[in-house]
Amino acid sequence: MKAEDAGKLLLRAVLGLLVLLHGIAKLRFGLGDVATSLARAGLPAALGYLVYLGEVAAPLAVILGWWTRLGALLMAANMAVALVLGHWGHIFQVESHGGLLLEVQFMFLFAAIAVALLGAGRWSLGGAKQRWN
Amino acid sequence: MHRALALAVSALFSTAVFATAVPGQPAPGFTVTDLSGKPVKLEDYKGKTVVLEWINFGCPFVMKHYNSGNMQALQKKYANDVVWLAVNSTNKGHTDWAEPGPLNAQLKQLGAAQARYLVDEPGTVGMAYGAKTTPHMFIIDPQGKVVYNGAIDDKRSTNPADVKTAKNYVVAALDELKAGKPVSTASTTPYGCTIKYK
Repeated sequence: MKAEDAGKLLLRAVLGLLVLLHGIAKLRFGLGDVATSLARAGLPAALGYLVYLGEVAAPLAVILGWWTRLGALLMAANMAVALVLGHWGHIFQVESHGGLLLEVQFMFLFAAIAVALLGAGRWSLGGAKQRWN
Repeated sequence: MHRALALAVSALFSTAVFATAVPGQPAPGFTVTDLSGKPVKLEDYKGKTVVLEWINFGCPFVMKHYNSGNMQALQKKYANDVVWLAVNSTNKGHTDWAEPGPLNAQLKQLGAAQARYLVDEPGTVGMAYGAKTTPHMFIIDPQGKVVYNGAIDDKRSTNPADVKTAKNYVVAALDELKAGKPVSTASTTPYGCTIKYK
């Protein structure tokens, strides 16, 4: 079904690109607030480099449609860790407009899980037959 | 099409798009109050070299340079040659915001030796300079021109031990300025925590 494949491509492309921009910023300016969160949680700073997997490599895989489900799971794990370590203090904080402060983070997390469940569709580098795609 | 793509990519990667304090250009002027509530005007320091250091003690990258004594040592080393201004652009609502009382105590405990500590709570100065991270360093020459914009050094870590082996861009630039030479590395990509703007 063409419309279904187009929908999957659109979801992958948008989710992947929006997260990738965060990864690019971390490549340019360093780990930044990831290091702050890890230090506050008492975790080793070296773990911070995993963010490049979750916000650069995985989104690229999702955009291209190569091992998409695995990439999407990595993105979801990355977002879950970000929510717990970086944002736990205001996890359900409601803003004056009625929405959650962390609405974008939640969208990223669950959109990534949705992509992991849906797969890449035919319009992808890995195609319909690749495992984890 | 290619042109549009090239433009979009360069917009993503180039600092020039964000930075408004461009080396070679006049430094954006500002009036802001310091920690004791006294106004500080950039103009007042015309004829002197000014260092701007974006600061936030809630940031491990800043603490790397204070816990190692690196930043204080620089502030003291150049105390006779430059006016060292620490600028804090953290907004009041953020967990990193600190009230003047505890902040003064922490500055004292760390032995910080900046000339003034500027409270840029609305983020106006930070935005005008395109300050991206803490720390983010700017150097303004006695003519009021920006001569350096970027990182403090080339080891982009939170590890205090790295300070010893890093190439310090601020030291290099200030020494060149003092020797009357042009600053050879006038622009680098800063590293650190994001600035907690409003």
